[in-house]
Amino acid sequence: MSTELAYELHSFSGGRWKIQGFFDDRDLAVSEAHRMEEARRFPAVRVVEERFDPETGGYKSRTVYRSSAVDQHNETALKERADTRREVEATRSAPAGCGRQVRQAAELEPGADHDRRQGGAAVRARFRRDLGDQPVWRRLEPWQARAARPPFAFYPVAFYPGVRAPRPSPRTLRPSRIGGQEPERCPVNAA
Amino acid sequence: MNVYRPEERRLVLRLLAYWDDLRGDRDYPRADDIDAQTIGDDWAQCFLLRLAGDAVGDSRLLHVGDGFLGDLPDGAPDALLQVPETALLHHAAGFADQTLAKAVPVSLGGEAVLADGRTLFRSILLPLSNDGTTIDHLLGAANGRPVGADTTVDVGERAGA
Repeated sequence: MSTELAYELHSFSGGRWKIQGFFDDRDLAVSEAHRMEEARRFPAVRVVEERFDPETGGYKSRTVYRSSAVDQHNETALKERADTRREVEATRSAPAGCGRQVRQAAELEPGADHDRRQGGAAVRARFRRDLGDQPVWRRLEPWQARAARPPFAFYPVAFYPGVRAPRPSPRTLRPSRIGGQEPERCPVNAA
Repeated sequence: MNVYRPEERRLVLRLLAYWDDLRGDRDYPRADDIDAQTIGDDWAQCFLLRLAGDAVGDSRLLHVGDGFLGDLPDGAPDALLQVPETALLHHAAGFADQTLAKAVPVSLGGEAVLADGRTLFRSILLPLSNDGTTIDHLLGAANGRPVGADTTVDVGERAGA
């Protein structure tokens, strides 16, 4: 039997790695690592391959398997983050006000996330089909958009996309900012 | 099949799981903790060694499973030294020194020339200790199949286990 290639199963406990088993077969070592992982007796397990180096007469080590509670937590967190990102992108690809409907459609359509590069067209198509081919939303012509808006006075400038808010003129500045005067402070906070 | 962890198809991993569960928080289980009933049908593929001093060859064989008797025409010997080289037991216990040096379970496999011909085998040795620190017994297990066999016929089972 050859021991030029060996696999050591290690467990992490008390701040150090401790050998738990010695194998000449990688599958056996990794299978046992999986079992120990499921038993949850140790916070981390790993399998280290030991390869005999005839030039130096020693062994070269490399980790071929590792699992820990932290790794599993990170994996779960990454998956949740990817799900959230997909949901946000599906919402962004839809017109304003339709986020909830698009989210629902994206959940219904298994492959819908692949279509987000096309602006969610597949999601919208699916949604239209489900509602009897009635258009749920459409792009408004500029004159239609203007007509649909309430009077200007009710909305701040920032409401209109592409329109910059005017820089404040000295006349619109509050007196406290003119001449470097500090606004009056609350006496409670000043203490 | 009445074995410990029947969902595991490999004998050495079943026995290793049993050993690991048996020891609990200890480094090693005691020899008298072993329950043949719990090991079940795999007990026929097991052997138990009581170590004697520094010479592993002088170790006493407290149990030799029926699966090894096919290679032992004179029956189970008392000492490991008396086991012929053409027996699976000889190869299965052949790395006892390595197990004692590492002080952990060791599983090795390979090809051996037995009385029945060339055989691929897989074995495991599990350290036991009555005082929790000094290894005084070894629990071993092994099985194999003839080289070139299409199916995994157990050498031990074929021998009448």
